[in-house]
Amino acid sequence: MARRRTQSRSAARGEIVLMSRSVFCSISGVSERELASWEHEDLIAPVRIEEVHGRLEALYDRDALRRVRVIRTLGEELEVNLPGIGVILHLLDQLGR
Amino acid sequence: MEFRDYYKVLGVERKASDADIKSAYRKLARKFHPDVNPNNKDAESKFKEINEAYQVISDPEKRKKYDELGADWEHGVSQEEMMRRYARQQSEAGARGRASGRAAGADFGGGGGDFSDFFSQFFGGGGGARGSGRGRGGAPRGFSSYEFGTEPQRAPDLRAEVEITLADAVKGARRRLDLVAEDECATCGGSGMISREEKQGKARVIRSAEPCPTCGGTGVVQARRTLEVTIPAGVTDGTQLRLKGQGGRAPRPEQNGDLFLTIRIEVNPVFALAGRDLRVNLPVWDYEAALGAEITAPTIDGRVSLKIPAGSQAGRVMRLRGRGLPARGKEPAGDLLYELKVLAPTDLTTKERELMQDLAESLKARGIADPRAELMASK
Repeated sequence: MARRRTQSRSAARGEIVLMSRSVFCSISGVSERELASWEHEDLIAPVRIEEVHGRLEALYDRDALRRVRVIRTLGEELEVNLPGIGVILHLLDQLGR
Repeated sequence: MEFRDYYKVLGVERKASDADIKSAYRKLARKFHPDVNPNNKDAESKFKEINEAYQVISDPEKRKKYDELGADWEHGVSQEEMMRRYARQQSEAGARGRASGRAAGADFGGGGGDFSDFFSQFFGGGGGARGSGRGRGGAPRGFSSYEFGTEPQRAPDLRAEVEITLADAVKGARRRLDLVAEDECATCGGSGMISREEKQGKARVIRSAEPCPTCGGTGVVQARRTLEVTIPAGVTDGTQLRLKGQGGRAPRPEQNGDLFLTIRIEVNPVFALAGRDLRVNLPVWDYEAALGAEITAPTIDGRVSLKIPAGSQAGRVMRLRGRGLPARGKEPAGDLLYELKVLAPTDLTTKERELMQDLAESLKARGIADPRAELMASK
C-alpha cells in the first residue's frame, strides 16, 4: 500500500474508485451513525466488503455518493422520512434501469 | 477459485461491442460444441467456459459489475455472505455506539450539502465546497443532480493589468510579469487531501484520506509566477489579451484557467492617444504660420520634416496617415495628427518691435479685416 498523491486523472481514465467507510463519510459529510441508519433502512449499501486484518471493511463507489445527495435532498429539503426516501430511491432505481 | 478473464476466454478486447462479443461467442461455440467434439473433455470444458463468459459479458449489468470488480465477480456468493456478516457487524457496532453516545465521522470540509473537491478529483463535477472564488460552482442539489456531471473542472481565470508606454503600444513589447496567484497545491494535486490508496485491478481503493499538510485542505497555495509576455503592436488602452492556460493551475494543463491581461498605456507628455490616432500640439511661430515653413516635428520613434503652408491658422490639423497606432486585427492603423499652436514672440528687441509695428500699420492701411468681426456680428 503506497502513500501517494490523489490525482484527478482517474475519472478521465474511467478508473473505478472505491473508498473506505471513513473516507466515504468524510467526502459526503455523512456521519457514520447516519450512514449506518441509512444502511439499516436499505437506502444505501456498500459495493463491496473486504476483510482487512480480520475486520470487515465496506467499500463504496460513486453511485453511493450519488445516493447520499439524493437522500439528503429528500430528507433535508423535502422533509421526506426514511421509509419514504426508500420508496423514492427504489422508483428512481427502477427508472434508471 | 482461480480468476478467469472472460474477455480472454472469448478472445475479445475489453472495449468490444456487443456485436463483436456475440460473433466471437458464436464462432467459439461452434468450434467447441460437444456435438462437434464428441468424447473430447477439453472441448467440453472449454465450451462451458465460453458459455459462462458469454453469460456474464453479454449482460450489460453483469458486464459492468465484472469490469468493476474483476476477480471478485467470481466471489459473488461470498460477497453476499460478506454483506450479511458486515450488516451484523454494523448492527453490533451501532448498538455499542448508541450505548456510549459515540459520534463518529470526521468532516473534511465536504460536510453540509455538497461533496468536497476531493470528490470531484475522482469523479468530476459535484464539487463546490471551495466557493466561487475558485470558480468551481457545485452542481445544484435535487433530482436534476441525480446524475453527477463528469465535465472536467477548470481552474479559475486570472486577471492582471500591465502598464506600457505609448512607444510600446506602437512598436510592441515584451514584458516580464510577476504574478502572485492561487495555484493548485502540488502536494495534493488540488484535492486538499492526501489519500492512502491501493490498486486492485481496474479499481482504486482509497483507504484513508486526511487534509493535505501543505495547503491545509484548501487545495490551493499562493504561488509567485514570472511570465514573459509579448505585447503585440497596436494594442490600445483597455485592450485585453488572453493568455491561454496561464491562469489558475489545474492538475491537468488543459484545465488551466486563462490569464486576462488588461493593457494600460502610460500618459505621454507629447502624444495624446485619441482612439487609434496620436495627437500632438505643435507650436509654430506666427511668422512660420504666416509665411509658411519647413519644420521638424516629433514622431513616436523619431522626427519628421513637416511643411507648414503659408497662412496657416492656429488649430489647423496636419495629418500623417498611418503613423498612429498600427493596424491590429480588424482595427485599421491610426493617424498622427499635428494641431498647430501659433505663438507670438514675447521678448522683442526695439528694432523687432519697430518692424512689427510697421507691419501692423501696413496691414491696417490696406484695410485688413477685423478678426473679431464675426463674433460681433453673431451677437
